[in-house]
Amino acid sequence: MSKKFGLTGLVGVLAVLLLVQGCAKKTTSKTGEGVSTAVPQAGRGMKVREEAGLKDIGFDFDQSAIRPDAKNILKQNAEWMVKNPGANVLVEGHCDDRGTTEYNLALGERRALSVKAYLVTLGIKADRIYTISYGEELPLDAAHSEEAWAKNRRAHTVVTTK
Amino acid sequence: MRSLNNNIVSLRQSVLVAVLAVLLSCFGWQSALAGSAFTMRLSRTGSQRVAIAIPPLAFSGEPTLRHLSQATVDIIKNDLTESTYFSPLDDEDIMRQLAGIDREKGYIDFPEWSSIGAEILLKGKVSADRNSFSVECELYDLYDMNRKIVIRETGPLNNYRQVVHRISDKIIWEIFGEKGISTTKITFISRDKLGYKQIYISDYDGQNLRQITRNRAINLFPNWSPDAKKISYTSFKMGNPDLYLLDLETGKDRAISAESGINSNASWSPDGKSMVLSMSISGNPEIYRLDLENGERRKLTQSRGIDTSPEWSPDGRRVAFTSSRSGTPQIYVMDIQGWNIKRVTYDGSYNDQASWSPDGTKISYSSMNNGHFDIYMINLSTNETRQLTKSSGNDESPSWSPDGRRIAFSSDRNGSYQLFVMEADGGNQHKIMSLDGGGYDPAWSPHLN
Repeated sequence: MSKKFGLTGLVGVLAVLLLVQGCAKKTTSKTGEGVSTAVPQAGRGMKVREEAGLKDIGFDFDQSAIRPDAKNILKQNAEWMVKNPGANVLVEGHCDDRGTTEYNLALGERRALSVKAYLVTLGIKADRIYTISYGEELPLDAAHSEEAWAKNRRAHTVVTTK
Repeated sequence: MRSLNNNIVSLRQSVLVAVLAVLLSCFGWQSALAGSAFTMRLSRTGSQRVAIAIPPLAFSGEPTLRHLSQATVDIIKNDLTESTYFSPLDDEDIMRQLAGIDREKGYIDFPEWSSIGAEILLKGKVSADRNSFSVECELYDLYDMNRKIVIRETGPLNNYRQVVHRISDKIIWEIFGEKGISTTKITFISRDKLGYKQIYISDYDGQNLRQITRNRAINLFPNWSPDAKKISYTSFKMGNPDLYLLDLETGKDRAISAESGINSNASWSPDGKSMVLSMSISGNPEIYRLDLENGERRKLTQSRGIDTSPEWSPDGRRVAFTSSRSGTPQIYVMDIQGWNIKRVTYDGSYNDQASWSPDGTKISYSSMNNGHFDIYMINLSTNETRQLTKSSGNDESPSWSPDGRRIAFSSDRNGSYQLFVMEADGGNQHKIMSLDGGGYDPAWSPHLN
């Protein structure tokens, strides 16, 4: 029952992803945003590096929908991925600390998956995109202010390096 | 000896007891006993505590361990206060004097002890040497001087607090016939020196702290198995929020749900054979039931919203969980097949962290009002909602004690998040420890045998 880590697991995940991609369809979230059924792909044991060409996007409180201002940023991130076809990315979903730890872990997951789904609609292959939620665990700014909270509600994208 | 119970008059105010004592001297003990049955019935429906006198305990053994005698008194007094059954007398000087007079006389002067407001008197001694620690004490019913109960406990010196906690629970058992929680523990999250959230266990009173995970990752949501021998938790140690099971006796640690996406907020079935948890393997956080024996997984919810924080009910038939399907996080209850989903909370726009009372009649939860969390409780049969905390900070993560008389929670009312305990009606809210790394997400253990 315990998960086998490493290559076997990864190959399995990739196989599932290929299947899912074949029958991917669109559903509509409560906010009316298009969300594909892209599933999470864990980047266990991977190292990552920051990439200046990949920008963060922000979210509204308790929302995982991609805001209009974020779409342009994600388009630029997608362009970077097109220009760097050998690079895979890890999208991290983050929350401000106002909600509960439990709910924020799930909300961060939805944010990461929203970004993945949007990048897929822009033509990026789903298997190049790993996702993880850090919930409210890794705030950029620990202050308790609207400004800090807005900074912390984000999806951060890094490049995986093995 | 539990019939001692029937003879206790639970008059809390010492003034009244003093008046009674005067009456007793006029009309004799018979009249007091005649009245006690009636008073007893009153006290059982109310929340009056029984007054117990605990004078200094005698000591024998290694002289350098003499301080353990006073430590034992302090632990018992705290346990009995926390139990909500007793109110230990505070005036140590008077008790020391009376104990001295008893020694001189060579017998216990029960009316003297009654006159200071005591209903039960505890006398005894502590023995300690380099290896072992024991407590032997006698409980006297001051309304029936012929009734005496002897209680003994022995254990290793390095675990003397647990020995004393067992004494406290025996006192509660002998007088009230109820299982105490003095030997229970709390598992929770605190940050280590490097800032990583790690899992800790302490005694229910915040003492005897032990760190049980030591990794360089975020660890969250610890929860006890029903036999209190294992702890489930979510950890990022392999680079994804996966669910682990740690055996406290063997130290064996293994992943039990490590699918892509979140594997979090697990809660055990009462028989310990299954868990419910939140997973996002389908592309959205949903509630799943996991059979721990054969690894089979069954999806219980299917909604567009977030489904998380499942809590298995004490009768094993239902699961409470949080869902944002209505647009905001609210608490729902469903059966263990995922059917008969019923929304429980309607007030407020952010409710999460459902925790069942041990009798399954109530759910406590965290609710956000004006940007702050408070703890509420809803009675599932009447739908009556009650606010239990109202501090300037956030009060979160309620967890019931196994006797249903207390709730542990985390609060940042004094600055950083620390662990607190309150009575189940919201009374007597107090911090049980102060840690540099804070205290988050407590889970109260079941009764330990």
